[in-house]
Amino acid sequence: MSCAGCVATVEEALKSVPGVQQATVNFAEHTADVEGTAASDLLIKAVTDAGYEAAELQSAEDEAEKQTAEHRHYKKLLLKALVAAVIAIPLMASGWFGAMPGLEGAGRWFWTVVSVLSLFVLVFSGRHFFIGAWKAFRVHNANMDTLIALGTGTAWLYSTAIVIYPDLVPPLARHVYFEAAVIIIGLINFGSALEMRARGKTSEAIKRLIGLQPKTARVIRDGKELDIAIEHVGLDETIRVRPGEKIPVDGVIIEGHSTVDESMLTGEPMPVEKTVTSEVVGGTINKTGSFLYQAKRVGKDTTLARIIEMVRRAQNSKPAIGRLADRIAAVFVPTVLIIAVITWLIWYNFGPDPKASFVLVTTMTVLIIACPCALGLATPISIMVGVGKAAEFGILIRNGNALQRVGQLTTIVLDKTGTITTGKPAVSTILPAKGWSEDQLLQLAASVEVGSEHPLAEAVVTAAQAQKITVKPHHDFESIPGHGVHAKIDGQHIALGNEKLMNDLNVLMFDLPEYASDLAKDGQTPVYIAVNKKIAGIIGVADPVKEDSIQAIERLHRAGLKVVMISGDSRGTALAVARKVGIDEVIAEVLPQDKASKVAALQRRGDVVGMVGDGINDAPALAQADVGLAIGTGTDVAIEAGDITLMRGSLLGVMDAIAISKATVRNIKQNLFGAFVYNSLGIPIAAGILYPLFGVLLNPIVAGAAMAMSSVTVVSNANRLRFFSPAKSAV
Amino acid sequence: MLINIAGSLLILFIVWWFWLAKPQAKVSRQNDIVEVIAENGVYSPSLIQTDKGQSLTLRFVRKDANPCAEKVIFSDLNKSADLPLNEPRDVTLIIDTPGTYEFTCQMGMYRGKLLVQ
Repeated sequence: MSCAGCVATVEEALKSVPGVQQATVNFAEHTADVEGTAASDLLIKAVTDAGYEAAELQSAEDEAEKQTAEHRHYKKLLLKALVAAVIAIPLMASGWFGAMPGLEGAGRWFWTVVSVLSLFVLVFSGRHFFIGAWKAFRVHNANMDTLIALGTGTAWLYSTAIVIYPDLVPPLARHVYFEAAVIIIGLINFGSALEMRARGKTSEAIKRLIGLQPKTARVIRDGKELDIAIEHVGLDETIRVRPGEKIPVDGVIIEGHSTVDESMLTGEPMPVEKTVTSEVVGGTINKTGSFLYQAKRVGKDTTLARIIEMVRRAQNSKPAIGRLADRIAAVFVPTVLIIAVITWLIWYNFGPDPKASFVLVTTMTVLIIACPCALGLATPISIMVGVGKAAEFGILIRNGNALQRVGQLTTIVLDKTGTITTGKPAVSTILPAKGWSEDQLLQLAASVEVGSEHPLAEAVVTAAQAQKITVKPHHDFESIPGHGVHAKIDGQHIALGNEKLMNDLNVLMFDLPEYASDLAKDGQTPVYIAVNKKIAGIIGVADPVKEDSIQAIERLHRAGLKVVMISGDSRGTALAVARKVGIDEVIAEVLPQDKASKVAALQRRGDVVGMVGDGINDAPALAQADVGLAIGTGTDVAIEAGDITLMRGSLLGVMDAIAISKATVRNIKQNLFGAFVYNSLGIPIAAGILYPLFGVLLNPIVAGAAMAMSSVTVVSNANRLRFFSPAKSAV
Repeated sequence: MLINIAGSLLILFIVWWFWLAKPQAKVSRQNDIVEVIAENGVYSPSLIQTDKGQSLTLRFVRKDANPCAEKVIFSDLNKSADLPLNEPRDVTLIIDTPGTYEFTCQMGMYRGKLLVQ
């Protein structure tokens, strides 16, 4: 928009969309506020058709609005509880002190006034239960509103009938229950308010992630620096970031250098050096220098947006353990209604006098005490907190099933390169054969491998660059997975690879395999080089073990898990690494395409297998495993590649994921057990099962309080997970 | 006697009304947008009929400020959406397998069904 005239055009375009009630454009901020029910994509289309660009503003404003609406709702619930308390407390107090009049004479007027006041409370504080119950009934559904409306409505109707026509029932049965109805309404509103407060804390993790999203970006357009809303940043735009600022979107540095704090995403405490061609991630913090970078991923495609979406989806999913509760919740309320009718009939036919009182009290109490909410909340609330907790530790869980399953693993399979080791191998030994020099060998190897992305190739090329060795051009390059590579240089055929490749080419290796074996025992990967099918020497490449790999594998062993290493390396090299880190079982010389079948073989012998590897090369094996854990370091990890993504690049994340899973499942079981036991015991006691033995009936007011607190208890128990620390757990 | 008969009839009514009888389904055609209001504990409409392979957009408008209603979850389809208050949120589905698919709020209090034929 370039002038005020554009404002009118855009407003007209927005107002022309069906469902729009009001549209106001802010020229200074280049934003529009639209009220109504029109979908955002139609609004954007209308603006685009009018010749302008548009995007939906999200995040902080929506979040603030949501919190305001929730706060208003919370205060409304408290007010409803307070109004009910104002009427109920004097009534209850009078009852305790025996100051209540009878139903005769002036007493009838008193009770008529009480009836009217109670009706006011039912309407003001309890209207939503009755409306909800009616609406649910119309669509053949029944929920918590049904139970509360029936319970309190029956109490009020019976009591009012007694006041108007006392002779309806025998004298002994002439009891009124106005205070019970009013108190129950008040308690349930109060319980809902407490539950809301408690639930607010369960979504802290995702609120924290959303809070990481910056709102503006400083772009360079036509040589000028402009601060714009982040939604307006386009692909390939140049963005400037100064020290201390948040990086707005994902991209690649084109000028300058700095250090970046990526800890909020990956948990890596040390700032990471960034220079030209380094990738940067939106939401991380630029520390020391200023730089320009090109936006490569914006909007929903940024790493942070995808993490938020993954956490959100996982929080909404349910593991298998929660499905039983769902099935019960679906039939729960109608079942309680039937139990209430059966209770009524039993007391009517077999109960002592006054039958009407016993029938009313027990039926009402059954309706009030039953709590479908605790059952419905038990699983999702724990999942929400558990998934959020995992995200705090850089562990992204795809869904509830993955969260449950990871705690059931018996065997962890670790890919070697990049998982146990750093994945950044370096040349450590060069053994030329007779007639060759170290520099010649390095030159040949680097000339073949230049341009290849294999870690071993990068090691060779880096070593050549360090020695300032010139690389020659190669032709007819071919890679044979699991064997090696070959190409032509200066008309000569050069082959680089393992013993399998040399045997396939019928290269005589003389005594070099002995040297290769020694290198392997030292943990180095021997790479043979052959020129025109004659052996020229061996290069030893060592991939250092990650610092925390040994500690992580110890923790896995302490938790009773078997640890298996899988590698394409020679058996000697793989065994050397396994010995260093304390691994039980090694499957070596595995071709990339065979990793999945090795995982399947472990599963066939009864193991519940978790596979840890990078999300790209190990994708089939990750998919085959019972739980696939993709490991990386923030910017390079393929998010959603596995069931679980370990953003911190540390194997310690595996044990953290298992600990969080076990704690979450334990929490779910506690909640489900509590909800089942509460309802299984509460309903029969409310129906009067203790009366024949002990002469005891449950007071409906006590039932109301128990019901109100049951959901709060479930949410509070789930909130305990927020304080869970995987490192301190016994697992 | 009358009370017992009334009680038995009431039990039969509960079984029939809540478990056997079905609400009238909202039938949707290809590329239809069906507006679903989440308010007062129910989705309106709560039963939507569609054909397999047909693109169906459910436009949820949440009018209940209770956070209970802020998510809609399609468990069998592994899909979910956050529903902002008083704003439409579209969920587009294409279901290839006939059957009944439930959608609920996080707690299961709001319940709806998709009948795919």
